[in-house]
Amino acid sequence: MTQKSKQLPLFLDTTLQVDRCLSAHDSARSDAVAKLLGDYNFLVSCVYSRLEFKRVVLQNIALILRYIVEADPPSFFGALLRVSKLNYTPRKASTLANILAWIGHNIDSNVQTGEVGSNIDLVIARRAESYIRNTIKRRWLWYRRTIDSLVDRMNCQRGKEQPVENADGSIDTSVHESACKNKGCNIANFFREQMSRLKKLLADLKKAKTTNGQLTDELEDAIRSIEAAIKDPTRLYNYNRCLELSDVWIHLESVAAGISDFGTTNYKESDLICPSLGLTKRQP
Amino acid sequence: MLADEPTTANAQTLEMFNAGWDRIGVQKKVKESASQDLRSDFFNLSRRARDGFEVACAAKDEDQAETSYEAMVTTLSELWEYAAYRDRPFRDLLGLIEATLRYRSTKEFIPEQRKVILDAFSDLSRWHLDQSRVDEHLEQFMVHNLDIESPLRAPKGKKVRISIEIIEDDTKE
Repeated sequence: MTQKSKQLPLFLDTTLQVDRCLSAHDSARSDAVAKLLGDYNFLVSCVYSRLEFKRVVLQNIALILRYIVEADPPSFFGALLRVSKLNYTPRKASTLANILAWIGHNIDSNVQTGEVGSNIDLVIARRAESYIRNTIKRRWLWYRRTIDSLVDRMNCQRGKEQPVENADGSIDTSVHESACKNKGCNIANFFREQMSRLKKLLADLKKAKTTNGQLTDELEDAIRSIEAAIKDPTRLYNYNRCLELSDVWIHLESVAAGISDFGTTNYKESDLICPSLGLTKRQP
Repeated sequence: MLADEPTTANAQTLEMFNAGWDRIGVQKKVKESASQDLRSDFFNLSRRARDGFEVACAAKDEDQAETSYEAMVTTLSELWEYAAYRDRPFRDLLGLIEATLRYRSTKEFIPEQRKVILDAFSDLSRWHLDQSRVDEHLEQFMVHNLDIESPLRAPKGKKVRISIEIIEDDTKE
């Protein structure tokens, strides 16, 4: 095998995929990511990461789309009004503001009136709908297309659920959490398979806690969840319990795929999990 | 009882009935004619947009390319006026093309990308369009690295702030 054809795989976790997807307009950031990826010729991610990506990246904009189309007729200003009342969601408001600015309204003058239910409201709503719908579909396809392999030792059923277009034009990106109890995945077996590694990780995390005094909330959750699952792995057939180990699952998918280089921007958790599982953390 | 000749009352009814048909007929013709005009305007606009892009790509002179390109973008905006008469696949295709082209120039697209965009333009002038066909274009745009997400992003180096003030409607009690 020549040096050129030798496979150099990198495992990409959710944070890195989100960074790749959203930093297209941030040249410094996208250059840094491209530089890291340039050292490898085979990119791998996992279905469970795609589920996280759906939850973090797609659900947010799918909700904005729903706000627009649920009015009859669809209303952009109605959605803007609704989002502005939700003070804790500045990102949703900024997405709508960006669309309005991009279309060209409210750019040249300081004040314009937009009446809910007016013709201009409907036209802007139709345009915004299309941009958002296309973006959701594109990002879902993008996840799979920008990597060479999507591994799934967990056989995660929720991660396989693709966004579904509704008759009203909205896109359903919900995660059917209650279906996890149907035991359609391989989570308990995967946990058993990786038991020795998980026990080592548990010991390393506890040691780090003693040394450092405090761990992140995610790692604290992981300690409790591993301890409980060692006694009964079938308890993991529950969406929220499975979620407590989300960082651990993604690192284990990399281990199970035999890929030692783990690409992430999630340094707090990976700083401890990677060395414990024999992975090398790679950051852009 | 069947009458050979209509009674006065029947005749009046018949007259009204026929007149009604006439009115409906006229309305139908007006509607058909308006619909044909609408379609014809729509086809002209969508072809003009496609031609504008083609001319902009083929232009040797930079000014000509820029002029054609800007005219094409304006035509795309005008096509949104027809969105009310069209279904979702059309709107999604229009949104896809517009999001890719607006605030850009021909120089930013390599020949393969231009071909993918022109293919999408060809379908834009169809009256009946399948969503699956639009999704194929979407995938092709992604494969050829065409950015369609710029409407959702803040303009480079800027942040957009919109303040909302609710105005009381004086016409309602």
